[in-house]
Amino acid sequence: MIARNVSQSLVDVLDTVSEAAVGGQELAYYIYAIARRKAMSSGLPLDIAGIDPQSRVYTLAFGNLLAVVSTVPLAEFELDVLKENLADHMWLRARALSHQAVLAELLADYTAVPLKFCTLYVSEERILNMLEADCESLGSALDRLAGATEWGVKIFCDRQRLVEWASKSSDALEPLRTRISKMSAGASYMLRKKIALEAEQLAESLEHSYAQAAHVRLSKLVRAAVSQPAQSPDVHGQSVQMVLNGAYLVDDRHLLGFEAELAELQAAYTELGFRCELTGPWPSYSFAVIEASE
Amino acid sequence: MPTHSPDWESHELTILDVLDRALNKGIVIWGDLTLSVADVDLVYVGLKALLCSVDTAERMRAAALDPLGWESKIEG
Repeated sequence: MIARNVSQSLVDVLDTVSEAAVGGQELAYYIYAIARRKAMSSGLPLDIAGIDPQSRVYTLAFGNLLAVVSTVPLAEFELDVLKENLADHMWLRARALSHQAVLAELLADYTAVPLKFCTLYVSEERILNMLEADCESLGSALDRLAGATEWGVKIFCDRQRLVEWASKSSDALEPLRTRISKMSAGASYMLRKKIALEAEQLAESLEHSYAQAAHVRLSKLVRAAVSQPAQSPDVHGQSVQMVLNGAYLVDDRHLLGFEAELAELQAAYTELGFRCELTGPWPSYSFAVIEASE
Repeated sequence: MPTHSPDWESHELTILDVLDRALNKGIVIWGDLTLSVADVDLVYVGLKALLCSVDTAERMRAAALDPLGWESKIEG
């Protein structure tokens, strides 16, 4: 029902509905999320600037469903202008960060379904119509997220360290090490070459199986889990390989257990060159799903 | 030899992670303006460029501080 012709320009739509204008400037409504207040919320009103720093973020309610919005100058988001803006790094960076800041502000007091960057309406009325038309699917999307929070876990592996561990300490290479220890340095030359090669191969397979095992262990403790493509070193900026880039929807009551499991994984594998990093809490970017409505 | 923390580390969200999520994720509701697939590609291209520009900016800063790479040679 809410699918509309996307090529329709905002100005065309605006012509057909009551005009939103402040001081002669036409406004559009940027919508960040569909949210519901948590039962245990502080009751404090939202107090944050929107993607346009001149406008505060506020909510529009249909029953207990809230659209989290702020006004923006229509001129800045009109499709042709927007395409140019998207190509402007400074514009994109600032808007993406403020989009995230608003979603982060919701974390404490709201369950929220984050919407796609740059979703806009031309009037409050049209947002309320959308909430009404989609209240069921939006409500069940919120139900699935209620009482849980998204956390990220990255695992990095220092391959060189893992290779060293494999050649010195792995059970698999113990027979080779025993043979070498009984030989003179000269006589063991070929065997030492062999152990170095096998340690490399072992490290490669351990890196994957460890990442997989860690993901499975963490997944057992959470409501939902997803393993995302590992970031390349240019993105994460570390000299070691990322071997897991997981996102986990952790029930808030089970967060301590999740952290304890992660600490246990870290303790068991530090020696092998693995390091775990926990990020979050995140808005539920990876777990918000709305069933297709007709 | 790098030192390793015995515990998992909790980090401030990095700007790149934030950009990656804010620009690539979120539920699509057809608003009066919603980025089309082509526009999202545009955002993605912008994101890649941003990631590269952060990287390049850092390399340029490092180069400015240590134009001939002497420091790293001495340390190495």
